[in-house]
Formats: sequence, structure tokens, C-alpha cells
Amino acid sequence: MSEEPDDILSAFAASLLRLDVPPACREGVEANLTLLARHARTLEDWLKREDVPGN
Amino acid sequence: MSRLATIAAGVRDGSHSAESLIEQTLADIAVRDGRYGCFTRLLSDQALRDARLIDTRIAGGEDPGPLAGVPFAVKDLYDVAGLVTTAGSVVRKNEPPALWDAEAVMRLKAAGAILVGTLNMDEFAYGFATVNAHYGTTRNPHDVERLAGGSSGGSAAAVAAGLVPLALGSDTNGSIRVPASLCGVWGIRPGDGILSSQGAFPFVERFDQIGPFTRSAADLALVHDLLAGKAPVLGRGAAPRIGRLDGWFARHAGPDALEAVETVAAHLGAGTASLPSAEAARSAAFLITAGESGAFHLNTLRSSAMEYDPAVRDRLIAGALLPAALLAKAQQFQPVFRAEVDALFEQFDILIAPATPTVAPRIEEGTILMDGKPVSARANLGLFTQPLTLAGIPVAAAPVARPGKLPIGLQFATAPGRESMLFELLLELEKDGVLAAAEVPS
Repeated sequence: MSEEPDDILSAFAASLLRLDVPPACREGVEANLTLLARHARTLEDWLKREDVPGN
Repeated sequence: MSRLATIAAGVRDGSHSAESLIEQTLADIAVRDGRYGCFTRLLSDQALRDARLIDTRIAGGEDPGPLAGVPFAVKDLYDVAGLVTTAGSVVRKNEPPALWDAEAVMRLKAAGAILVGTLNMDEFAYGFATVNAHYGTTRNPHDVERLAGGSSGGSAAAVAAGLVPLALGSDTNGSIRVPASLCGVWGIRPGDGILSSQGAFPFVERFDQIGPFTRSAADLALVHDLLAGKAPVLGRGAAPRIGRLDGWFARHAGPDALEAVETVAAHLGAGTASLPSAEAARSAAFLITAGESGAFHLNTLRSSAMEYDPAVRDRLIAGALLPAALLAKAQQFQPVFRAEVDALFEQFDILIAPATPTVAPRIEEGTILMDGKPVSARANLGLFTQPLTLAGIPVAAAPVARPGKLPIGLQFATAPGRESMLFELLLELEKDGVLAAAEVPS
């Protein structure tokens, strides 16, 4: 998959649409997905740095 | 001398019976715990039977062990024979009772300790608050309007309040270190593979560690070594090289955390230590926790989602939705970060950092400040503990002596195998009065 942050968010949104999340949970789940996307972006950004071993 | 050893010595030499000690403990919990909400179940009858057995053995000339008659309690995710292991959730209410005690419980009982009850936690250990929709909020004994921290908040608060001198908790991302810091007691997340988690309900198995809470460094070392099944630490080694973690660990520390770490670092003459990947490590731990716990609970969520604590349920569902490629990337980062930490331990023996960014937040607010913005305390109180989780190293949480102020603790991390050096340092700092369990105002 792409490493771009926007694509990560899109992947989350697509996951949410595929799953049968109970309506009462949707708002809370979306908030948590946003948080996870932020962490995914932090990790991606770090891994893209030139001084990280292996890059 | 260890407080636990002193209690046990009094039981062994007949100064007081185990039965009277347990009666007193149970009565104290009955009177005072309504204020704190630490206990979920009291095991009064069984505890009194166990106490009488200890007294009988002593009368018969036997030695019941180094913890003879010492009362203890466990986080509600430990198997206790005859009880349903709730893991802080009503989702598990129809599960069969445990057939045996968890291994750690067995080991403490074999040393003569007496189990008096089970303790509150965030549901399935997913949180740093001990705010539980089913069993209530555990309140901080130093200010009952504030959080005890979590997820082992019942364990930390019970020891802080003096309801029991010893409790067991578990630490996946900081669930021992965070409440120990906010409640002003000692705790340790052991290194990978040191203590058996057998019979402890899992949260994220790759990260889960069990460990004790106590009111002194000597007690912490005693119980750690008893649980590990090895001889107590003896003798002094070389003076350890101490590094104070900067960067991520300084940038997000509030004034109390900065003051605490500066006091201890100055006392120790600590150098500056850097883990450039700490923020990424925290994010990797966050993603792995979400993805792996979500997958673990997915089948139960499909059938019983609405029985979960809503705050935990929504986190688990989001985790179950985490794209596999992102989870894999976070998992692959773990050995990279471990190598960075290993390299740092070439320069330093012990690393210190705040255990929490702040003192206990107020319950009604439920937030902490991060980059000047309020964020959920439940999700973010572990921002300094999560990176070290990823490293799999032993990390103690130690209360900094600050009489008259709300408690806050520091993390003392060391390389696997250097636990003796870690405990020696903690004992010395406690002796010097730099570290001390906080006294609850009467």
C-alpha cells in the first residue's frame, strides 16, 4: 500500500465502510480511527527520514 | 528493612496472628474502600481460612515463608480459583470460574501471603484511567477528585491508601507505571520473560507483563525476586552510569514531572541520553496495541459489542479495523527500536524519565495537556511509558519524595539482566530520601 498519510486515512475510511459497525459506536470508532491515523502518520514520517537505519 | 518482611516476622514470631491481621485488614477495607473504589470482590471467608492455616503451621513449628500472613490483592484479570476472571468486564460474566490460581498468585501464597480480594481496572486493561463503566471509577487516595491512573488503578490506589501492603497489577503500555506514579507508590514492569503471566487474562500478549505494587523499594525487590523464583539481590556492584532521557520525554513533561526528574538527575549526576525514535516507538506501540487487541476481541465484539464499556468498545473496534499493512509496519519497527535502546545501554546502565507527564488529572476533566491542547487522559497518560514498552526492558516506577504535593513518579529503566543494579540504585535513593512512597493525608 502507499505510505502517504492521505492514503492511510482513506484506507481507514474504506475499512469502516466495509465493516458492520453498530450505529451507536460509529462516532466513537471514527474518533479512534482518526487517532490511529495520526499515529500511523507519525510512524510513517519517521520511517521516511533519511537518517533512519535501513533507509 | 522490607515492610513486608517486618509484617511476616511479626506473624512468625507470634507478635500477632495471621488471623487477627487479616481480620483487621478486611475491617479496614470495609470501612475505607467506599471512598476509593479499589476492590471489586472481597474474599473474606477464604482469606480467614488461609490465615488460620498459616497460624496452625507456625504453631506446629513450620515456616510458612517470607511473606507469612501478608495480605495482598490482585487486579481483576488474575485467575483466582473458584472466581470468574472478569478482566474488568461484564462481557465475561458467564465464563466458568477459574480452576486454579494464576501462577503469580500461587507463588505469593506459597510464600505465605494471603489473598484478600480483587481490584478494579480499566475494562480489559485498555486505558490509563481506571474509569470503568461496570465497576466504577477508582479514586486517587491523595485527592479523591482525581484519577488513580490505570489500568491497574485499583492495585495502586489500594497500596497507596494502605488497604493492603502489596498488590499485583499488569503492564502492557504503562498500566503499572502510570498508576504507581499518580498514586505515589512503587511498581515495576519486569523485563520480557522474567515473570510468568500464566493465568493473567491477556490484553496484548507481546507486551503484557505482570508485576507488583509496594510502598518501599525493598518490598519491590523482594516480591520481584520471589515471583521470578530467584535469590534476593545481595552485595553492591559498580556505580551505575545514569542517563536522563531528553527529547520526547522532556518536551511533553509538565512542570511537576520536570521538577521531579531534575531533582533526581541532579542527585545522581545523570548525563543526557537520547532515544530519537521515542515518538515513533510510542506510535508503533499504540498501533500494535489497537490492532492486536482489536483482533483478539473481534469475535466477542461481533456478538456482544453493546455489553462492553463504550469507551473501550470503540477503541477495540477501531483497532480491529486497522489495515494489516499498517499493523505490520508497526510490528516491524519493534526490533529497530530495540536495537536503538540496546545501543544506548552501551553508554548507560540506567535511564530515567518521568512516568507520567503530569500529576493525577481531575476526574471530571479527564484530560491532560499535550502541545498545549487537552487530550484524553485515558489514552495519553502513558505517552512516556509506551515507548519503553516497545523495548521489552525492565522499568521500575518510583515515587519522588515531595511532601505536601501530589505524587509523581519516575521511570528507571535498565537492560535485561541488570535488575540487581536497578534495585541497588532504588534502595540507595530511598535511603537518601530522594525517593519515597507518598503519605496519604489523613
